[in-house]
Amino acid sequence: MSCQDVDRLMTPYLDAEVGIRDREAIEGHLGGCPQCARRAAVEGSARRVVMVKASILSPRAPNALRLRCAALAARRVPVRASWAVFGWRVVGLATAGLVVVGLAATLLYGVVTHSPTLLVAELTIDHLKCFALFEPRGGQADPGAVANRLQADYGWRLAIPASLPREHLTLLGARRCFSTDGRVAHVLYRHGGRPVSLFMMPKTMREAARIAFGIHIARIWSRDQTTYVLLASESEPDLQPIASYFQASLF
Amino acid sequence: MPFMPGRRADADEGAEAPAFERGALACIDSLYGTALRLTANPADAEDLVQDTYLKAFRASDQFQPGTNLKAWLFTILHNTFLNRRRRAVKEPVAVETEEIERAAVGLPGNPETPEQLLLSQTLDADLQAALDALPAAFRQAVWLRDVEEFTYAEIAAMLDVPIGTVMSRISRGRRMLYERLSAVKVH
Repeated sequence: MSCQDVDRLMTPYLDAEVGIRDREAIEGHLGGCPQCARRAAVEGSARRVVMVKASILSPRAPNALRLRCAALAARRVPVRASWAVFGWRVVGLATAGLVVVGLAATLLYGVVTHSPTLLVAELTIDHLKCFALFEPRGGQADPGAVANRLQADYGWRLAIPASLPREHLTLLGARRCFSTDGRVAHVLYRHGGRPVSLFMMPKTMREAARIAFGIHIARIWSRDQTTYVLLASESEPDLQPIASYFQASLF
Repeated sequence: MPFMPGRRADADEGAEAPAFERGALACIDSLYGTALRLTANPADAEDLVQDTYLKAFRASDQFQPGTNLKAWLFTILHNTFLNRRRRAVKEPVAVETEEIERAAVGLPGNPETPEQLLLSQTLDADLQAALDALPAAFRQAVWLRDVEEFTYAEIAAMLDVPIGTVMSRISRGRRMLYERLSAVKVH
């Protein structure tokens, strides 16, 4: 192999992009040609130092830029198709803003699986988004129908607490939680007209916790390989009877 | 009843659009790092990235699922950058290879082995500066190959040059980078 041949193949050789035969021929040439050997050493060293240092050479995008780009994506998210099976009507212009927050949270926090605070943060975004985006038709939903639909569509066998008139608690319906890549069931209620969410995560177990996130309060508990998160913008005393009812209904 | 039976939501239909956006947004750090190398200015880099996403989302129906989304985004990024440069008419886009080669040859060499010199003693700041000092065409080629790990064919498509030109620019860029880092160590 001549210097001209090696010149043509030097870059793919250093990048391990040549076949065995060419590699052996090149290395044979390098063994007898100081000039080509020096060139291989120089370019190979530069290549290696850039690759080793690649992580520090590429800075993380600023959070403000992330949010702006997430906003661009939010304008494209087709919300109607995802909710058609539930017959819910899209309302309001808050869609872009809330989806922005949701996508930004995904960018900033990633898929939440460990920290309870981050889990509640992500579920709060979904709670706000769903109640702002969709207006349910008709009155209260039938818990049996909701449960059957969740099982038929997603394979989830979940007990759905019914409405509780004496506590002014109304079951509205359920959907798959968008924020957590569709791995969580989101059951929606209204308590005295205020939105209340009950999230259910099959096949997960967590320690019981009470988390405050902004104006929202969350109660986390697990039983029988399912984790439940009750979320609302209510005071602790107002949330307690609902929490007690849900915990009693689900066992 | 708000929970109405009816058409079952197609899991792919609802998930396809968000999956594209998520996949695209996952490349933001790489896009920003490359934009910074192209523009050498954080504010311009942010504008370039934002512009890239705007175009990408508008043209998302032109993206073929199953192909390299990151490479597709980088192509948009580079085209957007080139279009801005042409409009600004600040400096020629074409590489003046002869002049650059002469400049590279003029830099002093170093008696130590290349491996010792670069791998054990290169400071991060020196490497950043040396990369930034490379001519744009060479810097882009080295960056896209050694940092972003695109193939020669992908780089050729992004930069709209033949594959042979890509390899040549990578080779020259690496050589110039080594010479610049060597010059730092000598002093």
